[in-house]
Amino acid sequence: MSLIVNFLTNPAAADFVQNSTCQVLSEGCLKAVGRPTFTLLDKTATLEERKYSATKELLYQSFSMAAFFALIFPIKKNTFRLLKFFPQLKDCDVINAKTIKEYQEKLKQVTDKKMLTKIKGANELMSIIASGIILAVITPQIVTRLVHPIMNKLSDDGQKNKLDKKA
Amino acid sequence: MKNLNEAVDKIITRLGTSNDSEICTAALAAFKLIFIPFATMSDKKSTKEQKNYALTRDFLTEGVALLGYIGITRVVKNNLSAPICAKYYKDKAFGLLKENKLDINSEDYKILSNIDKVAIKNHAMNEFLEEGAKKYTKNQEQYIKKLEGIVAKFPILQNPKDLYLNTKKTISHVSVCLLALTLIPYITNKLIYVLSKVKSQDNKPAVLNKASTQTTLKPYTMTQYMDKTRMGVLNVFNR
Repeated sequence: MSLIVNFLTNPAAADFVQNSTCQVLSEGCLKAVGRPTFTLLDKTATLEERKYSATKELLYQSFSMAAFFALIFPIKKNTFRLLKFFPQLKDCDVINAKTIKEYQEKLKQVTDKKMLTKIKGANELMSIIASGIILAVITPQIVTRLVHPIMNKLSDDGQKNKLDKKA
Repeated sequence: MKNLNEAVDKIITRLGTSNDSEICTAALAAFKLIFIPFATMSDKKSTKEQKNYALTRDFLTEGVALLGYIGITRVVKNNLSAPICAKYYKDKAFGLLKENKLDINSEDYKILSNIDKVAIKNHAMNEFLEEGAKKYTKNQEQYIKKLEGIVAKFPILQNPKDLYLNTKKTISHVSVCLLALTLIPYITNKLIYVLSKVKSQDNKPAVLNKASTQTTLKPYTMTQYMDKTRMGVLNVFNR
């Protein structure tokens, strides 16, 4: 019990879970395990329907994590370029930064706590929108095209194994 | 345009102050609720049954996720954070007493081991309220001052406001993870079961009606009747 309390009250844990990248990754990994398992356990559908849905789910979660890893960090490095589109930040010099280094230096000079909160929030908002585009728009389209070749490959392998065992 | 600016201002201030897990995950669930079923529909190689099942499942899962992340996570974090903070102070007070190396007196120990949960919650949440709207009773304010005094004496202890807010953030994430792993797919399975039951009940009268209309529209010829039942054949011969 005290271990759980220590974990839940730990400031380092709170800092870690505040990052939207960490939130998406941990939730995605758990979904990759939970959803296909429960889909296969659902007895209201036929085996073919369950297999299709579970494979699609597993592929989707795995690909979305890979795509997220590959794309989110380069995107996050460049979100500062879009800060100028927020009218709330127009008085802040940070929006004029042209490189990430310049942005970080200008960010250090901001003393207004409210402005710092808004800059952090704007970055998080753009990160959420980028995550949405990667996870909900791009990845499902790729997975839809990949699910049948992979299912066919899996069923071919399964049949080969059965034949080998019989032989 | 002014309203939009105000809304964006509120959103970025909220995300900058406390970017709880449920905000990000609920926003993504809303995105997925629209785009994943759309992608499933565009799959031309799957059978109609596979597509229908996957579509229903995608839609229900993301819908349940959206509601669960907003509703359940909020309830869990609002109700569990203060008791966990109380447990934290109680454990630490007991630890200090057990180690016997710090000068914890009986009054401090009493305060730490009987935490006023409502006072801690109100004190932490006052940060987000304007001056006039702050929630406090005089007793709670005095209690928090005493607690902060004890915390200042023992650097091992966390400030009540920071402790409450940190705990809330972590609980929010843990709740999202548990929902994603078990509760959301479980609820989806139950909903699909209910839907299949409703669908099978709807189909029963439809089948009967179809059969009756076929009989009235296309009456059997004698040969068809003979083919259909043995009794029919026997009856014909008996005649």
